[in-house]
Amino acid sequence: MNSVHDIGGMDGFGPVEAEANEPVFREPWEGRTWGMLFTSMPMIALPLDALRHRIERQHPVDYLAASYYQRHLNNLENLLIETGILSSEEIESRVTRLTMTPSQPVPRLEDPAVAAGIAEMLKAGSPVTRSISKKPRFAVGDKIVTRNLNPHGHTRMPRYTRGKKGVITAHHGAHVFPDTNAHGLGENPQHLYTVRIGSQELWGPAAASNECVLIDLWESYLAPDASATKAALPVKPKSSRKVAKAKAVKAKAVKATRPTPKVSKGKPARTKVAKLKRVAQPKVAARVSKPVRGKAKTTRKKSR
Amino acid sequence: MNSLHDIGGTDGFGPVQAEAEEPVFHEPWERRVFGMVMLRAGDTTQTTGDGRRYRLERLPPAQYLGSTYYERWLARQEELIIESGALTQAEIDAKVAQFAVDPTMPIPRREDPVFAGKIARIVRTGRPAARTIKGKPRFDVGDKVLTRNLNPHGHTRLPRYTRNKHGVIAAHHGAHVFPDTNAHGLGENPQHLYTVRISARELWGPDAEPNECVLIDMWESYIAPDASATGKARKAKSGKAGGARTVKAAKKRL
Repeated sequence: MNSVHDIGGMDGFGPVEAEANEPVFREPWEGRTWGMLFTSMPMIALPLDALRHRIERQHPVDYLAASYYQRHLNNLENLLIETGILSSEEIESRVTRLTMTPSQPVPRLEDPAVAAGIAEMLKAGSPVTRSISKKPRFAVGDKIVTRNLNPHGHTRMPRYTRGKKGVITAHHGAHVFPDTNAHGLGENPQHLYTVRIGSQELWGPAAASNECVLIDLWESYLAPDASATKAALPVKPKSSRKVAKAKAVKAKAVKATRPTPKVSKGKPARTKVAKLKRVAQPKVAARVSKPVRGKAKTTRKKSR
Repeated sequence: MNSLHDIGGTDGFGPVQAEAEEPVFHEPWERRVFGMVMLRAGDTTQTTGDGRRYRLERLPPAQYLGSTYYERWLARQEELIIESGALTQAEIDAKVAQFAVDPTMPIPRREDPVFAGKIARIVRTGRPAARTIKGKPRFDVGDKVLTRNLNPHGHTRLPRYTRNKHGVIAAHHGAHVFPDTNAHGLGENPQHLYTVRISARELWGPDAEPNECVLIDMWESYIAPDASATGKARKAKSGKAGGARTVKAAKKRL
């Protein structure tokens, strides 16, 4: 969803205030919230992506006015109420009681086994890398265009990076896909890439010319950059991957320009297009090796 | 600036609640704020209407979203009054505290029929931003355009979600004061103003409704000719594969 949590490219928040020797928790309640979150996770049984999506769905004003751990606390309270573990009355009465007598001891539960489990979870994290049989669609250096996706649910593609041209700079293997995982629709792991997008592509000609954003994007967020594929054709294919690409393009080109009488005597408009294509064809053909031609023929046979 | 006031295309605010028989003012204080703003009460800054709008956009994001329309107006008016030097923040706070203690305290009242008549005229007629300029419009109705990807730090009337999108000129409204400079005291610089039609799918991708569009008024400098569309048009006119440009276009289609 396009909610206000997606503040990439937004002005008006003032400078980022970097704190020297920033503590892990500013207030004791922050550490406690963090602990509560981890001890409650097994009861709530929701993936991190779903928790994240819930935070995004907090009311815009609440979201912006709250600090990081306030958002976590709000989220946790709502989750405990929704799962029936606590009622809002129980939470309210406890808050009131503690407000009246702040010195009242906080209930304490000692369970070394659970504590050890949480400590282990914190150390190890919960990796989202997965092995999939599908080969990656893109290679490092490939030119891509990010899709203009505006889902109503969770997504990890910020608004400011949509519909932009970029280059694949790294491949990270397959990772759980948050857009489905957040909604209980399965992990559907996909290949994950780092994409480099120039500042001027993102923010227009007034942006710095030598700046860029590197952002991790899932495969289904990306499409090949059609204009770049054509522009890349004149370059002699080096890697086997590029040859494969050239093959695919050539196969298409031959199919389209097959000089059958049907095309040349067909609708005038189509003839014109076919002629134009033939003008362009020799250049394409000159760059294609023999085995590729064979491949193209096969394609032609198949199409009959 | 890309601030939170630019909520076009943002989810999470819930449905628009249309109120049956909505009153002009929900509370008496809203009427009073409207009056204060029209009077430019205490505000001797030379801020233009565009400049005042820009001030609203610069309110802190959480305050902006947490405020109602007239609460924002009031916050801005206080800012302008303080900047003018007519009142200090301390004086405003003291008066507010006084009223909080004694809500029945009489409100100071000034009668000035001539001034009141002037304000009534302004409220009725508005302040037209239409101007006459020599420069001919660059675009005609039906022209295909591409909106520019502009992200100025100052005021702009080009929402984020409409940038770098293909559209069609649907109307021409003559020249209008250019808010992007006028808001900053950099002159009116009137430009031709157009209504641009952008399809929902161009804005929101292939999952959007195929038969919906947004019609939005844009100043001429927000818009560039759609180069891809121009190429096609030229080919159709020349009728043959002449220019390098046409061949390129054909190659693209390969």
